[in-house]
Amino acid sequence: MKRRFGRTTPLALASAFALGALVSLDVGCGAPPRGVDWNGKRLAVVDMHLHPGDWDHVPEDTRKFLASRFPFPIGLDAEAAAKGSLLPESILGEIDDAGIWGAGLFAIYAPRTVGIASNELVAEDLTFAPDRFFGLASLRVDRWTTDRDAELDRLKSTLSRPGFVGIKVAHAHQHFRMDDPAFFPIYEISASLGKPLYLHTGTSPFPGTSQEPAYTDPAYLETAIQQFSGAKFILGHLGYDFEEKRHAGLDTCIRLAKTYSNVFLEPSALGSASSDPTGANLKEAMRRMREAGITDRILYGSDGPQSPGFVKGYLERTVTAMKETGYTEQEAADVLARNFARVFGVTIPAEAAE
Amino acid sequence: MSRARLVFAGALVFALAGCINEETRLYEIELDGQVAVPSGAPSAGAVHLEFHVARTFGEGELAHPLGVFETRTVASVGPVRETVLYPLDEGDGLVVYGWLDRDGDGVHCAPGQTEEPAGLVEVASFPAHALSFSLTLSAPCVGPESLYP
Repeated sequence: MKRRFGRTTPLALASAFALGALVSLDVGCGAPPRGVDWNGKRLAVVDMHLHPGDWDHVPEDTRKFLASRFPFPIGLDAEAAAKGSLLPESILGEIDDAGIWGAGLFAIYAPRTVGIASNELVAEDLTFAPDRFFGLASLRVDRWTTDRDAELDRLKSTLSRPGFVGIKVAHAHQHFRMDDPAFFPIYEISASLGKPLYLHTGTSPFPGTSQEPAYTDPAYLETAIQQFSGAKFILGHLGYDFEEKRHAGLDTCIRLAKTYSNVFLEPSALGSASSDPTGANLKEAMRRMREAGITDRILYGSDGPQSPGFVKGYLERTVTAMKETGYTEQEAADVLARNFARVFGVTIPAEAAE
Repeated sequence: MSRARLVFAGALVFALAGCINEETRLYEIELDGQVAVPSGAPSAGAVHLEFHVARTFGEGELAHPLGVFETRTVASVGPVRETVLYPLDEGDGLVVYGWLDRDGDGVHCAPGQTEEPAGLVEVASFPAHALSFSLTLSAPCVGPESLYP
């Protein structure tokens, strides 16, 4: 806890408190029930994709970009709001408000783009809600020719710590090709330790991103998916083109999931109000994955916390998309939590949906 | 216009100018280079070049190698002459990375294509307004991150 306050200014704490108060305005006196309503039945939810962080470890250009996305009037002091939203207590408040039981917390080492949320920071944040937070560890790859072995050892060591269930990498943000065998030892660790691997796919709006196909197009992962059949590859964002706000890799993601039993899909961020204003793209993705018969491969994630209420809003948009495209209760329950439990070997308690 | 309005308008312009004018210091460099493939290797195709700062400034852990600031495409291997504007506040050192577009699709090693060689060189004597480099494209299908540091 000591370091948590070490990276928190009084302004950020006040901001976090204010955000908590803001998002709870519609709650009244009691906490909302857990789970989402599906035709009168409550279904448990795990949001596998949330970002804790340390504002001081975000590059300046990205800080400006993030701050610009906060809605009025929060945007008036966006830096403080953004800072506060990355704290574990804020993340817990956001998922509680949304009725979400569990959350995946991502570490990331992308000093040129989204910044650094270290494994140590995530380990500390996991202690805030050890039964409900699940850590995904990461590693630096920007000095691979010199630091590779040390980074791989550090990753293995982190994965042995309590609460770490998987690995997170983002080729586009971390600037390494999806098909470069020099980085395949990462997938090897995933396979040998049984820790699933989450991979950002698709372009990204963050300054400094490598937008070329080899860094963003999930087709470039096929060699690794074939070679490391014991590793579970979770393709984040379905290869979405966040620059043009359109599907770009959806066909490839569906093909890979249908072809390989170790491929899973996660439709986060692409359906947000800013990336999909009408909701049509998220609906199309959910419909096409269902028609392809791969609802047992979809893991729910939002890519929050972003701004206050985003986590709750994204869940509502996803549930709406599933209802409008004919998902059954069983399929919705799989997408929202049960697939996560199966893939990561996590037990979801009964109180997750009551 | 009253004096008060004039003062207000002046203050507004001053404030807005203060917000939008972020100073960027650019350093012009004329690069005289030679791009080649190993003797006997196929050499047909355009060459895509990237110019990177070798080390990007950043506090503590945010410091990192590489950071592209300009890209160019030249018609073929051989002599090249390019003028680039180096962002002085972003880093130091100069790296040139390139790859040969053998199939002409504009994509470096699309799935199934394994024969497009790449290369990288750190330009000596930086900073100077006139520099030369020699770049050999011999490593198939790798990005700059696999060649530097």
